[in-house]
Amino acid sequence: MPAASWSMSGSTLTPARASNRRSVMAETLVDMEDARVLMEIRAGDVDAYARLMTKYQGRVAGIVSGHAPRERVAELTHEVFVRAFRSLSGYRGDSPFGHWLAKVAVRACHDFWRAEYRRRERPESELSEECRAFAAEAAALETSEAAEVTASRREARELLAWAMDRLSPTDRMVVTLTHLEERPVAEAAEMLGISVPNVKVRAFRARKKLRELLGGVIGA
Amino acid sequence: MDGNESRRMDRLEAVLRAAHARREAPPVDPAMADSVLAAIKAAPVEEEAASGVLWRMAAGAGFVAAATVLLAMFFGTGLEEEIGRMLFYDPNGQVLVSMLGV
Repeated sequence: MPAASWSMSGSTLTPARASNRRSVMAETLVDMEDARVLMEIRAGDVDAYARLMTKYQGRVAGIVSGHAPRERVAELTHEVFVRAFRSLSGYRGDSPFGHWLAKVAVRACHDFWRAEYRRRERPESELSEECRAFAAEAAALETSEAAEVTASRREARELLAWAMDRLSPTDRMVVTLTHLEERPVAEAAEMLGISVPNVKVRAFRARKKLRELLGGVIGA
Repeated sequence: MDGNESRRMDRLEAVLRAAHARREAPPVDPAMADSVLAAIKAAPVEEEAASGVLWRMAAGAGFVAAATVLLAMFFGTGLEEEIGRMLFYDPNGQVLVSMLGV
């Protein structure tokens, strides 16, 4: 297709824009399918919910695995879908169903950590010597390629879990969303159901604490 | 923290961010949809059981209230004075009379 024929309403439609537009159109079609399933559920066909679960199970498990320990992901994913079903009346359809479900998942993870901290079932573990050595090694890396390779090591996950365990439930959620996943503050605030200024303040303080913790490990 | 230390921290943070991005979600459980549907369908039964408990609690409270009224009617000579004394000191019942607007 010649580039000239892509010109629409005064602005040139680049291939990237065209691709974006196609994905938006595809999402709209998909949303219509979701809307149809939701109508069936509201009409009393509970089994239709299985179609939404099959479609979004991977995405929800991915979100949950970013916030919760691996061994609890299946249980929490289950909880998210049960909770979402019970809150379906609160879904107004002004955003895609997947976005709304992501919010439910993040809030379920937040509640999970709050309950865990209340129960105090997780004793604060000490960092192993291997992890300390790993942290010093990672801090001394020269190239980003080396950092990528280092990140796949078990010690990286252990160090991250150790540091996150020392933050409050809300702070660990905020740090994960804004710092580790690099989501915009407004999006993190919407997902957690707290105000944007609150997220900004928490993100700043929690990241500072995280750096202090890591600084203590590498002796900075 | 000087510039060198700050750079070391940045590198360590970058490694941890990459470690987070590389996390692996556990494999999708094909039986999950069925178990969620079972939990959803079981929920109304739980609600019914909970409302049954509420009804029993309300009946118990009603029974206690009725027993108290009967007790006051049969053995309650001066009971209202006792209650009045417990609530506030008003020996002549003036406050009570003014509250009732008599």
